[in-house]
Amino acid sequence: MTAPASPLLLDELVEEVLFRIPPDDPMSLIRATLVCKRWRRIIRDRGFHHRFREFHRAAPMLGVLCNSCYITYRARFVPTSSFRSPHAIISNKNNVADARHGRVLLHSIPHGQGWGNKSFAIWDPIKDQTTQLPEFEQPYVGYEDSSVAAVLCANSNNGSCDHLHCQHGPFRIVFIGTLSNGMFIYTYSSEDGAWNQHISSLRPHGGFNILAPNLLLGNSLHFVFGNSSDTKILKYDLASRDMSVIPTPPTCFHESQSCVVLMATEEDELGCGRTVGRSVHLWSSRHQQATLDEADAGGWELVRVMDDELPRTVLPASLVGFTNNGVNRYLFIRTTDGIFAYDLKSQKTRTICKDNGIIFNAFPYMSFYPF
Amino acid sequence: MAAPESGDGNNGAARMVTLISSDNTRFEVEAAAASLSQTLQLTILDGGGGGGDGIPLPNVDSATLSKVLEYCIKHAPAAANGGAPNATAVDRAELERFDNEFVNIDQSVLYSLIMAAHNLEIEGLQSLVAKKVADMIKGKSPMEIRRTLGFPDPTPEEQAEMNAHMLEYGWAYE
Repeated sequence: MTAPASPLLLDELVEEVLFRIPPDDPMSLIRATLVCKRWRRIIRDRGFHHRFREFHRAAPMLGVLCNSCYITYRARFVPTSSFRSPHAIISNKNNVADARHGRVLLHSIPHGQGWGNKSFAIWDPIKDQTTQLPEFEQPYVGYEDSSVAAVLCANSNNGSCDHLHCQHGPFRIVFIGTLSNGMFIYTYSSEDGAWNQHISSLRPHGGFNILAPNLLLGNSLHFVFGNSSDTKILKYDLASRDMSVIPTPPTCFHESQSCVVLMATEEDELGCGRTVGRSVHLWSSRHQQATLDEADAGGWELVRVMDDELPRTVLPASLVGFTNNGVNRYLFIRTTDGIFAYDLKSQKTRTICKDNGIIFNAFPYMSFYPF
Repeated sequence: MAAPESGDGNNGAARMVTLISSDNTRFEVEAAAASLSQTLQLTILDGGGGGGDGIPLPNVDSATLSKVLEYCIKHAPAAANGGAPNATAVDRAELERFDNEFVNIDQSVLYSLIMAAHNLEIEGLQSLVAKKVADMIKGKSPMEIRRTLGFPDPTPEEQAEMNAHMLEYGWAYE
């Protein structure tokens, strides 16, 4: 028999090569579509997209969405991969409220002290499509820290989704806010196209920390809650719609709440990071028992103290985010120089953007590039 | 003293098998190395390839087969340890150094190798060559990729299609 007449004779082998292009380099894959008709057909095939995701298993970080207090724009997309969003500057009317499972949740910036309804929109940075969500009547909330919102794929409440293929499927939004005698929860389902309201009598003291991103763990969303002397974690179970309060690690009250960031530990348990002076402490909650006894701060274990691991230039720091895609675990750190991502595994720090402290929080955009 | 029973090896010597390339060259190699190929492993487990018989490989020429076997012989000890969980860092670094040099070869050889690895089902080798070709693509323009991989220049019709695509995905061509 003779050797193959042309390179990579089998479609299967072309795929084997294309699988080895890192998922955070969509530019190279797009350029590869121009190699020849056969490659174009292979790369555009839905089956190939599916197998590419299965091969890599972990959605890469394509960029970071940064909220700032600039007057000209309030949020922008900072690329951390070869992907470039057609709209790096998102808008001067919206902030990013959350980003998850390939979607970005935008909310309108309230005028004054937060009067008036908040309106929400979903932005897809890859297709550059913005979908405005229906307006709905909201209870009066006095201040901006009275409410938070999260976006997630519709299957998150039963834990059945590996989030590899759900990017263009149905999604949910959870919008939680405080009332004088309890809390309201609005949930939006893209399948119904409507908001539903629930009321909880739970009402912990204080307001949300709107700078601390929420954490999805199992089928529960976690939010940082409380005032500067008393920080709690509010847990919202997506399936049962129950809310409960989890105390933060015992010494947290010495620090301002803005220093607390929620994390998933390597064992996928609830974790918590915070800055203590020039160090970063990581805590793990071995048993995530939610308790209404807010005085009980047990169940936390200090698992890592990072004293000298962070380069001195990134300090003084506050933690503004965390992401975990099963391969990389990044802590996002804000300093007066800008935003940095610290890889907890390789212990390397990566500059996201230099910004003189004008950026106040950051949401990693983790997604496969869909062709 | 008493060497452990290892298949039908005698006096503790490793069992050898013979492989025959498409151009009728005979290669004698340890069964453990040849067994990196899932295809060959089945034949060898059935007792094939020993003595004067030899296993014919009509899809692989001698130049390619010699290269394939170079890879298999180097990787066989680690594979015998079940993917080498107890391999030392030095061993792993040595294998990595070997792999890097191994694929530093002419493209036509790379293509023959990946074809052979595919036919013989040698996963590690297929993956290694695929990674090498992917590295040759990364960061290049479409024309550079075509030339690197040995594709002919586009026809005018193809060029028009390419231009339309580049307009659509402008950000990827800046």
